[in-house]
Amino acid sequence: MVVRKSLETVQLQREMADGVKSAVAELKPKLRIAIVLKYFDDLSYQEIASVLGCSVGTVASRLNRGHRLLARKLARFRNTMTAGD
Amino acid sequence: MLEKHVVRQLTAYCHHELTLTESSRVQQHLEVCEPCRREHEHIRVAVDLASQIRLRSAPDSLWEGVVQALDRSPTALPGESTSPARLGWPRWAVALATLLLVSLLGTSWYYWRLNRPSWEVARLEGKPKVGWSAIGATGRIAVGDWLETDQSSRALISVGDIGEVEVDPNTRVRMVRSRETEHRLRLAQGTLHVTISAPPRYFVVDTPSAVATDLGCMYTLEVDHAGVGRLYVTFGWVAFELNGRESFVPADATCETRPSVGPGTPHYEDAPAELIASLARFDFENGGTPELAVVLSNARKEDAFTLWHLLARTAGEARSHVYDHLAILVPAPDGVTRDGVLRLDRNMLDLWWNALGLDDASWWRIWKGPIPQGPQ
Repeated sequence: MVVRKSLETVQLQREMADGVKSAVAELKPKLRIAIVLKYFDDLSYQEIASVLGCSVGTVASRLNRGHRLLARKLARFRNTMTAGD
Repeated sequence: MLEKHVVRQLTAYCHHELTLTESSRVQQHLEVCEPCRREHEHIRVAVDLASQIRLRSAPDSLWEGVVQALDRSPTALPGESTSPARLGWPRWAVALATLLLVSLLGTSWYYWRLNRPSWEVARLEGKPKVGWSAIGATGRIAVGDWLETDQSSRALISVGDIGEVEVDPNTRVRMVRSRETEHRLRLAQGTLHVTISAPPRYFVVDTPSAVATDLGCMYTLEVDHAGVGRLYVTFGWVAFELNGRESFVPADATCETRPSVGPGTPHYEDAPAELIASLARFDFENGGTPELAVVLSNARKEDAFTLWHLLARTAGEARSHVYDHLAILVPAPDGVTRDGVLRLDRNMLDLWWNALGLDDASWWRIWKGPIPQGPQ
């Protein structure tokens, strides 16, 4: 039973990871760049602004739009994430 | 008040990128504002999901287009042609005409300039300029003035008492009008983030390829060097219009507009890529029936509002196809007939719109009616 539950968990985590990757890949390049730099390179807003040659405000704006879109695309995982809180 | 909403700060809030004061303001606002709290929950889930994969290396597919975009040189702020037209008149005639003009108009212009309506502008970063002068911590923009930001500056315009407009770098925007029921800007190039809390039509932005009319909302408007505009709506609605061609854009949807064509068909930002690509070719490249077929076959239920717009942008057999697909996604309600819709009967189109699960059509139709008096 425990083994089955953990297998389900692993499966779900894999599904979520794939879902996030696909959702990020579908974003427009301008939004995708900001998300990739934030999560895959773990940069701060200031560092992302330096890399992209834009202001911190622009980075914040792009990340906000990117996350709004991710939230829509990943809505199916919402209950799972909330339950896990 | 909508201008105090914190939707645009929520991601930075989740990332702990706000100052203590900003963070505290967001936190306090979330305690009392249900819409922002709902939005915060959505953003929080997206942040949590994305954080789970943060330490894994990015797959190649995610970098596709990123490197190209980084390599692309930043768009230079194109200066407007400032070279004066060569005058064909003799010098003395030009001088005399100028002198006369100055003496006749000088005084009245001076007083008009002194009494122009103006809005406060706050410097957010760098050295934004109003006219030729860089502003300090705050300044004012008056009717007729241009506000310009370079690559490293940003500014915040307070639009009377109805809202605010954040001006991104590399933007040129002009204040056109300020009346009780009409607040108007002209965006020549760049990006504006607009937050307005006022009755529909109180705030308008002219762009080279369409007019964006606020219907009570929050949105981002971009115009590139070629005059191509893009609208992204965060809250509420925006009407995008040029020469009778109009699009109504709800939250989370976007719409492109091009000079001499006008606004394309709006669609949700997360619509299928095939639908988005074909819609652009249909709107702006005479894509015709083949592209329309791709749009229709890829439309999800939530894309019904896109198909609804297509009814008025097609004719004959193409319109019939749109009708059939739309009817599958959202069955035509009582009082709506196929013949009526194919004739573009306004009442039937409105009834069908109301069945899409978005706001009632009568609400945003008022943007074409008399201007409502007084604030909400």
